[in-house]
Amino acid sequence: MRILEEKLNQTRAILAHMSKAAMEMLQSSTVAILTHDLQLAREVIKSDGIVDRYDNEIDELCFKILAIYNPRAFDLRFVISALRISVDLERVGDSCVNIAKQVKHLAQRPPQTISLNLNTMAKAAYTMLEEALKAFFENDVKLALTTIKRDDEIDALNKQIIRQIVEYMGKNPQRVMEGTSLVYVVRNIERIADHATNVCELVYFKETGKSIKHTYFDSVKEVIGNGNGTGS
Amino acid sequence: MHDKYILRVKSLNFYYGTKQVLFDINMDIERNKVTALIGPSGCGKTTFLRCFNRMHDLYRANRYEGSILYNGKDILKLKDSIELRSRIGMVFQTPTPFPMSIFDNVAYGLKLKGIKNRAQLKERVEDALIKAALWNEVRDRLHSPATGLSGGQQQRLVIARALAVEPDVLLFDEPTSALDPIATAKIEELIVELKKFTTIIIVTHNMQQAARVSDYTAFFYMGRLIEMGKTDDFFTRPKKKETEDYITGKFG
Amino acid sequence: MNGTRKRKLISTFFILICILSAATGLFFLVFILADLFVKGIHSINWSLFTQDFTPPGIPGGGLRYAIVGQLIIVGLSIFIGIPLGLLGGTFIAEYGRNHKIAKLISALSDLATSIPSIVVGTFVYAVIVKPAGHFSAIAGAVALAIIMIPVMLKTTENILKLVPWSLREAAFALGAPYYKVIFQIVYRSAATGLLTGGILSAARIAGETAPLLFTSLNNNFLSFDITKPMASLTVTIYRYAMGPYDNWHRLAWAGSFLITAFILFVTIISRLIIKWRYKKGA
Repeated sequence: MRILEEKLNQTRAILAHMSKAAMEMLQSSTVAILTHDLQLAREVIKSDGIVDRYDNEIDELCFKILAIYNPRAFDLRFVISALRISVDLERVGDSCVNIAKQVKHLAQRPPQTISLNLNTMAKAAYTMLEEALKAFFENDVKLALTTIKRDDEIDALNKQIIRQIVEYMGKNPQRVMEGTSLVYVVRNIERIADHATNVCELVYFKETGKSIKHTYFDSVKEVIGNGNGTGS
Repeated sequence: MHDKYILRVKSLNFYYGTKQVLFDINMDIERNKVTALIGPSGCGKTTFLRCFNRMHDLYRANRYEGSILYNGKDILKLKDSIELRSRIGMVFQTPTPFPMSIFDNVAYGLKLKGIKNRAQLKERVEDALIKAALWNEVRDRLHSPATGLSGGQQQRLVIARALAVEPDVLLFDEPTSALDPIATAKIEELIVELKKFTTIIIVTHNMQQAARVSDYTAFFYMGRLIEMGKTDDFFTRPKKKETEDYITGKFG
Repeated sequence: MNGTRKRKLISTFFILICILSAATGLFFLVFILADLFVKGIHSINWSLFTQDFTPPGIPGGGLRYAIVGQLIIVGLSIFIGIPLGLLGGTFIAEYGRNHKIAKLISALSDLATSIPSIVVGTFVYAVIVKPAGHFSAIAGAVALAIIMIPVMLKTTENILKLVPWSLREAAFALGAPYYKVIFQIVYRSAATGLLTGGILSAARIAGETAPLLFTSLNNNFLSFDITKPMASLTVTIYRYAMGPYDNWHRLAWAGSFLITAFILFVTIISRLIIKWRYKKGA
């Protein structure tokens, strides 16, 4: 039905706006921490309202679509995954707010080596989220599955930075508060990467109707072969 | 003054002989919107629908109480319901093409109104067939018998026939019950389009259909109007328990 | 196993009886038609249609006066009877629907179809011929019409009742008054059935003799005056058959053959009409 098509497109559009807003928040909050920009941090905190509004819109819209139009098959999977992705994006927004809030707890920019790694980790999380969302809007399952792998990279960086911060706190006991703030920031970035993983899993669900949430490896092998370019 | 409501029903009671079948119905129908009437079999929704064009007058021993205001006038008090029916049209469950050509079918209502000019008839027939999304399929055989069309096409022909006289209100009595799913989908899309030209009241036993096509939905049970509201709210947050029970399939 | 055999035996026996009965009926029909054909065919020539009555003894003579008379009387009765039957049937099927009086008329009509035709003849004699003081073609036409009306009425009633109510409702819903619904929709829809009903009603009375005996009587001359007695083919056949002359007998056979052929022809035509319309998908 044409009306259903319109509503689905509407949902897609709102989700796109929401994605863009969340990614901007991620970008800005990271810059705010690394450059100790209090003003930027304040803006990030304010812009969470936008993401929350989009979240409500998607909830209401998808609720209505399910109640009134009875979407089936792909349309149904799309609506359900849209509902869940908006949750993840909303949490991403919240994590960015958490990061931004730490800016005022830092007296200055973080130490050099930590900054560098923080930057790398944030960039990785940003790319991961970006690709996950791209996979969603372009219905690209392969991209989604390869993106999930990036989580390993972020896990490694996570461990490395935490070690660095602990070392730093050990050498500078008066800076312990700062150190804890930085640990908190790293935690939130790691969480953002988790949300990106969720998005990828939802892309897989949307395309196939199956869940890979707890059975990653076999399903992935099915889709992208054994890693040597063989298989589908 | 252009009233938002084209029809206002006030305290309507209806009797088949001595048996009362509609109890104190109050309802306002908004212009250029689709209002759906739903409810289990025998709830009175079709009886109610037929009050709007006084179809009950064709049968004996029927009695109306209360009023239905149409542009300010109470149609239940009209002496002559024939003229009313050219302004409030009806489409029934089984497609009923007349035993004549496609053109003559659509022109029938116009001829009843006294329009004889061939050019005018041609123009209005074409217009009606376009509105009913049937023109492209029949433009080359306007003078062939209407009975040669498929079920879905026949129903669209009947709709074109009703549209030709440019009614203010179109009443649909389970218009897709006798059709296959594809024909049904076409008619549903058409109904949503027709809002532009007329006000629509549709009786359907198919809740999904009511949800898909209507702006307002009214739930009837045992001759009473239980609840009416905007369709979006009606199916997501109904106010009365009976409504919720019906929608979730607990009865009917 | 005995049960199965017994069952099969009874079944076969029954089928045999049915076939035999059908064959018997068919046999007589074929016999009559064949007999008529054989006896009547060689009398069919031009003079039959161009010559009138000649007194016995004078050679020649034809049936023109009787054929013309028959056509006039039957034509007149159709003119009277069919419209009345049609309108009566329309009342019962339309305006009178659900009314007790319509059911009464319908029941009486059923009875009327089995009134002996000679009784109708004597009735019209008492009501028209006696007061007028003379026999007439009109009286004959009226008698035939009286026989025809219940048949046409019943046929009309049945055919109109077959038109689905939903068709009428659709017309009402467009703002049509009842009479327009009947003329423009119902009649149109039932047209084929009404036509064949009319044809068969006419065929029913075309071969009647008894009612004409007391009403239009006979006339030896070609006449177009409907207020006077008029010849009819059926009465003429009766007269010639009862007469002593061979010539007359020959003409009687010819006349019988003509009438039978005509009725057969008309019946076949009406069946063809139904078939043709049915094929058209209407």
